[in-house]
Amino acid sequence: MDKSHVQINITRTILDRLENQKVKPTPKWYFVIQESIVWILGLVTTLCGAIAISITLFVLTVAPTRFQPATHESIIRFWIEFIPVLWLVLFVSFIFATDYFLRKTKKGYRYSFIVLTISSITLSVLLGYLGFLIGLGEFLEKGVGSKIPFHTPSQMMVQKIWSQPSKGLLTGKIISNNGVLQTQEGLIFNLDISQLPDTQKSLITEGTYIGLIGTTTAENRFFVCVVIPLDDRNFILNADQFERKYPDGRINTCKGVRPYDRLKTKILNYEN
Amino acid sequence: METSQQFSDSELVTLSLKDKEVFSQIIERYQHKIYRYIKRISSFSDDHISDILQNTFIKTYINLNNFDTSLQFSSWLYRIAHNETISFLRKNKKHIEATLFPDDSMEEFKSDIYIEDQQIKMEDSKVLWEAIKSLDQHYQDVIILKYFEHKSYDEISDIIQKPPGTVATWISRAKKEIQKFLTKYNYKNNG
Repeated sequence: MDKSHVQINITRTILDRLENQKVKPTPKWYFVIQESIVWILGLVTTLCGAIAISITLFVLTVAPTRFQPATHESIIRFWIEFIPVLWLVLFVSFIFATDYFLRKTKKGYRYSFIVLTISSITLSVLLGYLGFLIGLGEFLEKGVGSKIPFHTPSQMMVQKIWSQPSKGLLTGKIISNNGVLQTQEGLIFNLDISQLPDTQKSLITEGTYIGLIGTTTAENRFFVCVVIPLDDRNFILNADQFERKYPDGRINTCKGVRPYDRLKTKILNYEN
Repeated sequence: METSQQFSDSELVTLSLKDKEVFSQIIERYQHKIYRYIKRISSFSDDHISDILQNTFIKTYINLNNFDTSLQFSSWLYRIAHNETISFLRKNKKHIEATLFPDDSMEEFKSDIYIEDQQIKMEDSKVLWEAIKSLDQHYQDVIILKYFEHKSYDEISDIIQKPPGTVATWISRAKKEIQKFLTKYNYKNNG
């Protein structure tokens, strides 16, 4: 007779153990709460992934790609600087966390890693897009982004890139109609706008935030070749408005200023 | 009094929650099957299997309220037994010497394993069992559940808590590993 078929009767032993150890079934509410917690955590990580996506979409849409030839050697270098690594890393982490929690639900094990991952990515992206449309991404990047260590929010990044007068880039607020600009760091520049066409000069009005391409002629003196209007003080460059205000003309003094030349040839497609 | 045969597993679960003594009917209905299953996946001695079996039923009783009626009760019980065995195996790996034993129900398994050499197909159960035991634990689990416990892919999925697709892949890979083992064995023994 096979050993595996040996008659064993442990019924009494088990019942005695249940009795002696006063074992009772765990109440149903405990399992309901346990399952609910797992679902809530799954939902929270999905929402966090969606938030990361909405911020990523905001960062990608406000990245000043239109002016990339004026600021960066190549599009690759531009995106290396602007790609929202933090939010993308957080998004991927939340996707894995969602996957983990969904797998811990009662029926979660029935779905493959790929199915769960694609589902959570889809849901996060859809919710993230919705968040982006209602302005959640912008609100968080501007509000929270600056408080995160080792993270430069997109508007700060644009500001940093456009605050290099020695490289022909300057940005700040016009504090006087006589052409005085104050940078974010508090430096004062006197602007020489004598060669600018009227449509461009009209952008230099007190209280407005602008981006400039030009060259430093003396300490704290900046010869302006091009004025780029900014959407707001967060340095989102307004490409459409810029093109409407930019006439087909050329300023000889600006010849040789790299961002100016690149703007002319690569962005506005003017011939040399 | 009605006999346990008149009640479904789910009904027995509900009744056991009200009366501990009813749980004995669940134990009696499943103890032999679960005993054999634990023996197949662990190859432990009877004493150790008895311990795991007791713990399995005690854990089942404690978690009765967590039984999902959309599952088969037997799948849920097998899952608890599987987890208990694996946990026991991990805790006592160094102290327990597994004893191989030839199983008596290998016909279905033999007929589903394609082996080039006919001689291997006729090998005795002991070699086949040895081939199964040479596999990684998760491959052993699916082979035992499929060919010895005669569980469907969905039931195996519910027991080991892996997607049915993964179960199918593991079974296929395990069979290939067994074929390799047997081919090597045959080569060694028949030159």
